[in-house]
Amino acid sequence: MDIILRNNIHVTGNLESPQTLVFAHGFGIDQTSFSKVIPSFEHDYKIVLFDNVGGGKANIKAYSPKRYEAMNGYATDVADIIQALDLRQVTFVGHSVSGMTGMLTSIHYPGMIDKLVLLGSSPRYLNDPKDGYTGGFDHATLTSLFEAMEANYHAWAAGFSKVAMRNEDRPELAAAFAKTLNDIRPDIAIQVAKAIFYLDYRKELPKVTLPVLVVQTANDIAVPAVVSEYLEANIPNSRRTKVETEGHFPQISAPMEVVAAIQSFL
Amino acid sequence: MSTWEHKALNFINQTGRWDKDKHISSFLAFSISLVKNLTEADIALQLEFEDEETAKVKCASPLHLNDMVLNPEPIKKLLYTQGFKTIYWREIPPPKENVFKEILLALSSAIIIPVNTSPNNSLLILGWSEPPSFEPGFLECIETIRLRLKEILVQSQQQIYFQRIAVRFAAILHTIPHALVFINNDGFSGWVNQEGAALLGLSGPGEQLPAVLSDAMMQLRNKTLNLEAIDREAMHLFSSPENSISNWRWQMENKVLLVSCLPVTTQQISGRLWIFENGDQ
Repeated sequence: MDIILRNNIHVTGNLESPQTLVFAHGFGIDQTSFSKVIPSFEHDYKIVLFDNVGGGKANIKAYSPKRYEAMNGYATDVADIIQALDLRQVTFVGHSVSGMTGMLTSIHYPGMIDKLVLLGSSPRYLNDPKDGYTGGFDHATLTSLFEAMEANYHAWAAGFSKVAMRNEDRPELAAAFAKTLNDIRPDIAIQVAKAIFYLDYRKELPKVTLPVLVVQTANDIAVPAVVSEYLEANIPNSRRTKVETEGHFPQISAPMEVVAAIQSFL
Repeated sequence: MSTWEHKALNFINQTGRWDKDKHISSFLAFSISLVKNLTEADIALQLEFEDEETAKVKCASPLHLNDMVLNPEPIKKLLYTQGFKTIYWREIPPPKENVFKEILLALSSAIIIPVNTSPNNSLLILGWSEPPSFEPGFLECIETIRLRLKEILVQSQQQIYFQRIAVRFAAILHTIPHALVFINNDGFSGWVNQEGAALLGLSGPGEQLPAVLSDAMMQLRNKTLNLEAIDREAMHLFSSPENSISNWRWQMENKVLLVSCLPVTTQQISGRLWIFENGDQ
């Protein structure tokens, strides 16, 4: 399948620039979530945007429950994109689960990615009391979450979008997130959500050899602050910065803070 | 006997002695690990073509390669151009020509062994940082291993397939609210679901000897209040193996059971299925 169509790839910015910024969206949103961040980099960087298969305007026919049952399938997609476009000097900005996708790509395909920005990412969402790890969720919470998704996906999307987006003074943000969630086929959304919430890539963190910027979100239902601290402590060449906005989507709710964080790292 | 003949025989012997009480999923992992040790490879793994979009690494040594996803299409093209024969790379091709570049990092030679099985085809990939000799005895050893691996893969996949079917149908049959009792005509096997086991007072559901089931069914029948009428119907029912009955009323002390008894006849199995459901008083 044609990779451009598969991932609905768009290349913008300075096409002559030797440096590339690849933006990868998280669960329930699409590449348009970076629309307020992109203008700040258009002059100096080639910018690559894409939709994860199963979301946005990616080709739904490319969705394979086998390929995407874990993040490795998405990591292979990222490698496909970088190779197909022959991208160089790549800084990969991965929001939420796509941060882990970028991390896996950097480990499995050495040399493809030069720098990594983890924006509201987590190596594991489930608490692990045995190891004293706090991911933010326990088994009972996740079981209830999936029961709610399976019982009435659209009702779940309406509720989840509000608690994940926060920023109650701007209800249009949660409404827009609810819409993109509702645009996903429910069976795919549930499978992808399960793959995300049960992932565990803690053992991969020390294998990352790139410079990494961990962007810590605040009052984030999906990623507690301690998770960002855990990432910084376990990724060898990493540093952490905070954005002062609530919710899981700072690129939407406080794009200029995200821009400043990325610029400080480039 | 040459060293490589000895190693091929060793592989056949050790995989033949594999402890069948262990879960089948470990059989293939054990076999691939054995190939790695015998050939002194630095990596060994299975690459399974799960669907048109997914070729997934399994049973890998080193472990960190497990679950990596490769694109099947370029790999299938390579296999096709090589006639699905074992591919011997004395030198690993440059990255642009190497469809396995992400798993053959920092290695100098590799062998790709296609193993065609149903439903999913697989490859066994071995890699070395110091190339082996590739002498004729070594190549013969690899081909012998390939044949045995195919048997192991087929056995593993079939057993996993049958286990899944058994789990699925048991879940369905145990969920049905009626009591189900199946008595095989072979005289050796029978089966009851959860409700059936409870109705007949058996220790648990699942496989039961027909003699145990018949005895329990007789005890149930003897508890009925309309035994004579039941016996009359039974005489007619069992006068021919094709006969069936439904809505057969068994009057118990505090309830009525509506009983169906249906012949089950397929090429592989024949017997009778008894269905008990609670009727009105």
